[in-house]
Amino acid sequence: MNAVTFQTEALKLEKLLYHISWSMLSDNEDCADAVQEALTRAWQKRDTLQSMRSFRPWLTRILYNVCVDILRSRKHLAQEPLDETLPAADPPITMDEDMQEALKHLSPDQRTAVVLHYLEGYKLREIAAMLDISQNTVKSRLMYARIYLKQTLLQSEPERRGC
Amino acid sequence: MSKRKLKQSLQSCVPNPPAVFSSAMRDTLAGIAQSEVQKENPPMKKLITKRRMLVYVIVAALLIASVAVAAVLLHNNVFTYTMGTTPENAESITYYNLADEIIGDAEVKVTQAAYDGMSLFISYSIRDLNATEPLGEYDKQCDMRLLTEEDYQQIYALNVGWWADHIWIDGKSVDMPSMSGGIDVGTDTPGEILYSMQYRLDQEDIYLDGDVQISMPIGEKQSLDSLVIDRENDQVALPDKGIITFTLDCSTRNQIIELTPNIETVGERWSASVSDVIFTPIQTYVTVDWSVNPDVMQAYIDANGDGFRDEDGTLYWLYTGVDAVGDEVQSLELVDKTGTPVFDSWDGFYGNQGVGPEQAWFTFPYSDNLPEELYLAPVIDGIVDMSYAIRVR
Repeated sequence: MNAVTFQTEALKLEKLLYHISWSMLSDNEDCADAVQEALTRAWQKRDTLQSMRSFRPWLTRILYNVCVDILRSRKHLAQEPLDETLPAADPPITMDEDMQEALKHLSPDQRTAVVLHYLEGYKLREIAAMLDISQNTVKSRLMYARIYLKQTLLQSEPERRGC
Repeated sequence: MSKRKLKQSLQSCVPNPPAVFSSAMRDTLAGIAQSEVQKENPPMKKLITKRRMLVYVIVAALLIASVAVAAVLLHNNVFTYTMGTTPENAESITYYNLADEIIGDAEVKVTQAAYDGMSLFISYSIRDLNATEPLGEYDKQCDMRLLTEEDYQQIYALNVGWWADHIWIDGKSVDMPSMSGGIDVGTDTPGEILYSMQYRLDQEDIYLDGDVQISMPIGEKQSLDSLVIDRENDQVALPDKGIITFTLDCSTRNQIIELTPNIETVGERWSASVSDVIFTPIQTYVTVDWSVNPDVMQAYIDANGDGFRDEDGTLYWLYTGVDAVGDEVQSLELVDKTGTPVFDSWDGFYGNQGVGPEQAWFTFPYSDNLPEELYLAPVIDGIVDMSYAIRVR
């Protein structure tokens, strides 16, 4: 795989890569850092890609691992004061605020599974390949995400009615 | 909330790539391409240094803790963990404390098991006997305990736990069937993880009755090389070591009611009939036979090609009715004759479990109050389309 092919194939996945990093990190600056690191690592490891058919799960898996590394780094720095000036991810104009709030309460792994399955439409086996986890783990994450979402959205319903 | 509605809601709040992301991606790729062209130092370092490390003190703790999913839900129940809810009548088929063994520094227990005539449900726990603190971190808002990678490593170090791909039922090996699943959760007991799983044995045409011996590879870990594989009969011999065996009363089979309505509904886009309805003490399993209208399929192929291909033309799969109208079949919900949904689709993990080119599978909660006339009907954007209603009973 030459650099041009790598560039072309990676750009096709821009939205997917963003959604994975956004699901994991919830911050655009970190997402940008993650995709840079992932692309760099992927290029370094391009010899490990056996077939272009596997390009998507291969690259997404690398990005996912980078995101996990960033989360680990956050944990180590968790004693530092909260940065009040954080810019939030740019929301769409007509945002479902309840869903937005509910998504915040999911773990990164759950949120990633939800976005890949329900928004991007990937099947369980495809998500499992992308994240290098078992289908059962994907199913488990989706199940808990639904429980979270149900609880959070049901809690917000009375508030909406009250308004 | 249906999957379609969930997707719409997600679309409204999951952002598209912002400029900072797009430019970072393009800059990196351009740098790689440029370096390759120039044959200079390989572009291995990041083109833009890390801007900053964002720290959310509270959120970070939560997010990191949930590298692995775990939960302590309202009830410590195998069904709650595997189905997302506790069905009515669950107690009537659930057996407790089926096995308990001390292996080195670990205690392995089969805490619960149940068979509803179709699926086998099992919960087992592994506890580090030297631990003094519960594993994972408790999330108050969602009443869930989240496990960390470190928790798993603690249990892994005990050299005890799931080590092979099968379970054995009366000595015969069974791999995890399709539509099965399992999850791991923390408990309040120090050093303990609870594992729960559901095996859709009906998918392997395995039906249990009476007392059944179930053997699980959850004892002392063994080498996979020790497994004796009979490829001719697609069997793996029950190992001598590393196995926990218990007996389960699976007499539930005689409590199920099976219907085979087979009343076809012919729609403009697809046709379907319910071939099988099985009412067990805890839930209802419905199998739908369906086919896409050939004209609709042809129109789909005319618009999209014969199958999914990459840029090089490599065929990944041929399109079937699943690609053309699968979403509509997937959206089927149980309704009464007036088109009113019988259950809240949020109630656990019920509803569609999978759609194949010829069949689709659904499960619904048990209820004493099911309407006499039952249908499956597509629910699109919250609107029930009774023109496609398929008679269930």
